[in-house]
Amino acid sequence: MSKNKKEVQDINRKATGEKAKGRSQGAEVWYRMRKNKGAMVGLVVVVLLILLAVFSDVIFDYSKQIAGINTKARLLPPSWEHPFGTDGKGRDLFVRVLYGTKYSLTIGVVATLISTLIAVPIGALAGYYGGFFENVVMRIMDMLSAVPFILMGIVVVSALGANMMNLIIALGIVGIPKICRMTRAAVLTVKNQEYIESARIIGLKERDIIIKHVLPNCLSPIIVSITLQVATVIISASSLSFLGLGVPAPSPEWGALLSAGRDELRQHANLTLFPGLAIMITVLALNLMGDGLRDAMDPKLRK
Amino acid sequence: MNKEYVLEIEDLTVEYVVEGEVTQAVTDLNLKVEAGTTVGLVGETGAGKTTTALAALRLVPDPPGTIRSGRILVCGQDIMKLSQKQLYNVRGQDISMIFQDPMTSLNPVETVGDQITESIMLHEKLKRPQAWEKALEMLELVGIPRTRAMEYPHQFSGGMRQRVVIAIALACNPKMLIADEPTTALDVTIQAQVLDMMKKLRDQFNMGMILITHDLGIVAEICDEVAVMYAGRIVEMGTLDEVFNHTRHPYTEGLFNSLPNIKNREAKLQPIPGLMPDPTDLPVGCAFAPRCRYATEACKAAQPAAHHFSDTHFAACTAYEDPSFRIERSKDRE
Amino acid sequence: MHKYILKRILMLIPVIFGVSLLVFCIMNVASGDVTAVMGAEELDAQQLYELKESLGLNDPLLVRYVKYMWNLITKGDLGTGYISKEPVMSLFLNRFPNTLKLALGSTLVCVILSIPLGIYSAVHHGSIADNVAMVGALLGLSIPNFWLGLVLIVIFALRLGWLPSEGAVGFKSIILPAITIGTGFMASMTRVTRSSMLDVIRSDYLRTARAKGAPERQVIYKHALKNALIPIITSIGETFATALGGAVVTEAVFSWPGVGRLIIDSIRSRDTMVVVGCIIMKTIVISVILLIVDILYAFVDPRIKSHYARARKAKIDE
Repeated sequence: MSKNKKEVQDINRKATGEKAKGRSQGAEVWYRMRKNKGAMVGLVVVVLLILLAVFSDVIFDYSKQIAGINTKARLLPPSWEHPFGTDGKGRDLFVRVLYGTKYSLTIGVVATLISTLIAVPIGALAGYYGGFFENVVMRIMDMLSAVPFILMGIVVVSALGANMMNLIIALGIVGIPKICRMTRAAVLTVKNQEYIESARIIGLKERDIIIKHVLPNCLSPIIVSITLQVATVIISASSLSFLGLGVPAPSPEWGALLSAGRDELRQHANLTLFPGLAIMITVLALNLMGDGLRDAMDPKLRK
Repeated sequence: MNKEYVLEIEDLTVEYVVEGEVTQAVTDLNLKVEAGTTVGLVGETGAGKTTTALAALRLVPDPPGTIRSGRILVCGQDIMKLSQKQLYNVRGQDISMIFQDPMTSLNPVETVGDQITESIMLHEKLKRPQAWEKALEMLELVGIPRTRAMEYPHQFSGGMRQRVVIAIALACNPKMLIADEPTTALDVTIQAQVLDMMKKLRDQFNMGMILITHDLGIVAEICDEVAVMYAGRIVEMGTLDEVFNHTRHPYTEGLFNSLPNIKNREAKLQPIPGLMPDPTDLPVGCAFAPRCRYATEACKAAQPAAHHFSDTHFAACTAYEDPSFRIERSKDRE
Repeated sequence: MHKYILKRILMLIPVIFGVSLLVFCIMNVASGDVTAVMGAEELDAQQLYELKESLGLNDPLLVRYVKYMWNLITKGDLGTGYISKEPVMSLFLNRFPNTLKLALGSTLVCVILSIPLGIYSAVHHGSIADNVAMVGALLGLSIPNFWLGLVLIVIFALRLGWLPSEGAVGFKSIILPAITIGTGFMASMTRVTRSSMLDVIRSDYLRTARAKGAPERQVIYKHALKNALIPIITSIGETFATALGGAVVTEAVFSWPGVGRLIIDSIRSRDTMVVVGCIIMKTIVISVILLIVDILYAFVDPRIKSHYARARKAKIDE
């Protein structure tokens, strides 16, 4: 009898459109995310990298291990003592690469934050109100993105001067158009949905509609594109540093490490190999996480 | 009398496996279609009608679907045993299918003439000009002027597109046609035209036909036999007269009761309460029992056996263990 | 159709003016006094004034911009390099064929690898091969281009000695840079191919094609691919445009004498004129290519084409 009752309840619950499994939206996303192995691996790696970046100054002694020169131990090959070998100034590459996490993650996160804080409000307003304002915004975005990402970064950094702060600002500005377009598109889709129309019909205020109905429904594409943007920024930052337009030596930023290693390419390929691997692992983890998030947040795309 | 069956389905079971969850879309289904007759396959959305039809052409999308067991004979050939190449020959030539939505079932980047020609050239040894000529004849047969053959699907209306789909399906005179809700997406006036045409073509080609629908009015119009499906099983089957006028199964009764009564416009509709059970979690007993007004504890214990009322008519309902049992609808009539 | 093309061309103009203004201003204002790198410390005030006058630096910025654009439009003149003393347009035109060659080569590499892979993944959707291909695509997206270039140099140039590591002499020299750039774009093109094929593969008209007895090969390559082609063509166009614009770092790695390297070298020598000119030209070229892709798109899809044809017919009927 009780089983039958449960069935009927299930039937009725489905009929009223309530979720059969009764989870909140966040829990639902987390549940789907957990089933995606790649995304979970990405998430764990990203968390570890964040911990490493936050505590790098506690773990390592900057002046001694990172910047300190040891002429006796120059260009040693990888060994137990120095897993990645040592560089031209006798510094342990393993420690320097680990410490470099701090730069890449900081640049990636802060630059993306700058783009997001500027792009999301502009994009949302452009999408929601449309008209002349939207037109102007979108044409400006067209201009910003007509120049290739990396060239624009080069222009801004070379104009401001090559250091970490300017690199962050440059990549922050360059990232605006993508997120802005993304947000506008998301708002546009949601804006034309019938539930927004019904909210208006039952007399909800415009402000409440935006806060309660439009924004929450735009959140998932925005979160996903932000995650992926961090990955893009990290690669671009290392490219610029590699060209000498980013974080200057002796800071062990990965692109700068690569650039320095390039001179020893013939004899000591390990100096180039490991910093690149570090970039690859970080970016791969972010991409896996971003993809997983997208799949988890947009069940329509799953099948 | 020796009957010529163009489609015989025996003990068919089809499953879908999605993320480890097994869904039984069709269970132990038996169905035979005679040449020149139409069987109506009736039931709610999700009852397994389309899956049955796809299985008959071995077109169940795999993955996630698999035909677990059963035998399907198309014009006497067991299509489960055919090689891919033989299968290509059977499809379109022996058995054909018309899909529900004419808006999406034509290739948008090819002209309608090309799409019919392709079907002809696949099965008949014709050169392209002859095949094209035959395609134009097919177009005329379904009531489309041959001058429109060079046009693309988006230039046609829904009803016209469904005619094109029919022309493609019939291009090689198949002996068996499955029409999956061919008129659901059309306007009512167009529906009648298309149905009328299909009926005529069936007689002309002496085809066997399965008509999938949830519209009992359409069934009454062109079917000779009716099979009612619920949750993957046929719950009642018989001739049109038997199922409509001597209804036995409570679910079939429920279907009739949910129709508006033209004679008594004031009568209230009597919908079947509840919804079809979750196909991933079917009950042990009769799947309809939770919604059935006649259900007893016995119904929930085991699958109901088929009870035959004539050579052609049966219903799978436990209540008929008691020979005196009658549902409300047939009480009125007897 | 003509109206659509005209509209798109007209929309391009403000973008090009905006970009050039932006780049011109940033580079000229923020990169400081160019005369400082031209040995101007030794000049007295009069000589400095004359030098600036000869470079046209004494005018207000906006006036200089208008003059600059006027020269570009009427004479195709991008000014003369401050350091290199050569006309920027001829510098650009000298280098552009190399960049074009590399962009074509890398797009080709990308197309040859990605499209079959994407189709295979879509057809065998959910299989192990599909998953491997998708993780591979993600990996391709995550490898920094310049690093891949360096690794290839180590393996094929330094260790094996099969291919040259720098320069642009002969066919062999393009192989490594083209692979470097091409595999970088593989990720996105494979994904586009796969997802547009997946969209099509589930469509009802493929079921119709199968039901009429078309062999699976014909279903995939005739019906599915033809319909999936539009996003794929767009992706090829975008890849080509990006390869033209973004190959800066790879050109630097392989010492490839293209426009990207010219820009980097000019930034190092603070030759603002060359940087500005090259970036504006690159932007124009990329925008035009993207425009052409957009127009092609309309020609490939009969729905879009007839939409415009009908619109025109309606106009005539009025």
